[in-house]
Formats: sequence, structure tokens, C-alpha cells
Amino acid sequence: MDNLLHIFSGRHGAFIAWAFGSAAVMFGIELWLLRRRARRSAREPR
Amino acid sequence: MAGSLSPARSATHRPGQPGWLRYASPLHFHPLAGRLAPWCFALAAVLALAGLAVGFLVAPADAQQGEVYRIIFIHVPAAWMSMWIYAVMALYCALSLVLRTRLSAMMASALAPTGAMFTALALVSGALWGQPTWGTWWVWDARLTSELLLLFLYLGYMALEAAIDEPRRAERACAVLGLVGVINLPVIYFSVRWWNTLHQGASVSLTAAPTMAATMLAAMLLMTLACWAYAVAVALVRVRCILRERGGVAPGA
Repeated sequence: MDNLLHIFSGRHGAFIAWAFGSAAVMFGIELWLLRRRARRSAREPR
Repeated sequence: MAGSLSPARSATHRPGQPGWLRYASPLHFHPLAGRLAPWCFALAAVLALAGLAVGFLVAPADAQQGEVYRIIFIHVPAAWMSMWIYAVMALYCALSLVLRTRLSAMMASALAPTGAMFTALALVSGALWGQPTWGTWWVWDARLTSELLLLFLYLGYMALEAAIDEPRRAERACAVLGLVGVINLPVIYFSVRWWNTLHQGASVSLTAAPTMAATMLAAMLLMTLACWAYAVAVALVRVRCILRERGGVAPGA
């Protein structure tokens, strides 16, 4: 935990947090869109 | 989950054909993809957790860059996956053009959004790494520009598919575009050798010893495997959607 605090509170901690945060957001958006598409396609074809 | 049409009634498997070839049939592939996807998602989660743990808790700080180098644990796997997914997508495009297998075209179509996402992630994480190390978010350097071109190829592929109403015509047009775009892959990979670029050269090579600590390399490889398992899982779920949307299997399957 001390290691994590050191990494993220350091001079470039914000850049690391933004990089991994943006990755989490992109994965989240893709999974959300995929889940929505799967539900729609399970109900009826286009 | 099984398709509404029984695989036993499918006429796609002929006597004397290798058994695995029956999975080229949407009716057989749809249930197989449904069974494999949850395992791939679970594998991706386990590998990502292990990779993040090694990357943030075990790997030491870099002697020159300090802590900011840890962006490598998402940037390099995303960049590798952006190229690897395009190569696989192009292979499916070739199969769909040569063998006219509809599942190949569907797999290519299922991979494109994930490839675009990894390319965008490589560009964003690269910019976030570039600012503290190079002093700039972006340069029109050969590696960065060719990676941006890869994003446009993925977006173009998806736009072309959406623009043509008739699925067979869309599949053929997208297959040609996918194959033409392959020319960009060696340009991305060799750009740091062919041109004098701001982007650093390869840290990992099949022919030379890695230039980084073993724990750094282990974290990067674990994250790459996690991204690979994620891409497979997402492509399997998406191809099931495409199969249902195009009438390959019943909607409720």
C-alpha cells in the first residue's frame, strides 16, 4: 500500500492515474455497449 | 445455450471432413462461443489482477523515468493488441474473400471495435506518457502517425460496414479494405528503425534479450495476455450478437 501511495502521490502520479483510469473507462464503455447489443439481439433481429 | 435449429440437422458437416471444421458453421459456433466467452473473461480478469499486482507492487521504479514508466503496463499491451487484432482481422477478411465463409466476415466485423478501442487506448496512454517524458502530448512522428492511421483504418472499416445495407456486399467491401490496410502494420512496427523518431525503439524482441528488469517484463506480459483474453471474450460475445442480428440463429438463442 505504501508503494501505491508513493507511486500515485509522486510528481507523475496524475499521469499514471489518468492512463489507467482512461483504460478502465474505455473497457467499461465497450462492455456496456456490448451488453446493450447482446440484450437487443437476444430480443429480436434487426 | 443452444441455437433454435439443432446442430444435428445442419447440413454443413459432411462425412470425412475434420471434426473441427463444423465450427465454421454458425449453428455450431454460436453455442461454442457462448461457452468459451465467460472463461475468457475470467482469465482476463485474473491475468489483469496479477499483472497490475506485479506492475505496481513488485516491479521497481525505472532508473531514468522514475514511476511514470508504469504506464508501459497498459500502453505496450494496448499497442501490441491494436496491431495483432488487425492482423487477425485481415486474416479473417482473406478467408471470407477466398473461401466465402460468412463466419470469417462476421469474426472480422466482431474484432474491429475492440481493435479500435485498443488503438485509441495506445494513443491516449502514449500521450499521457509523452507529456512527462518528452515534454509534449503529441508529435507527428512516424510511429505515432502510423498508429493514428491504424485507428482511422478501424473506424473506416466500421463506417463502411454501416454504410452498406446489403450484408454480403458490405462483407466483401470491408474484406478488401481490411486487406489493403495490412500494409500499415509493418510500417508501424519498423517505423522506429526506418525513420529517426522521438518514439523509443523496441524494448522486447524475439531475437534479443529484453532491456528491462524481469519483473517489469513479467508484468507487461501478464497484462498483454489479459488484453488478449479480453479481446477473445469480447469478440466471441459480439459475433454471437452478429449471428443473431443476421439471422444465423434465432434471436432467443
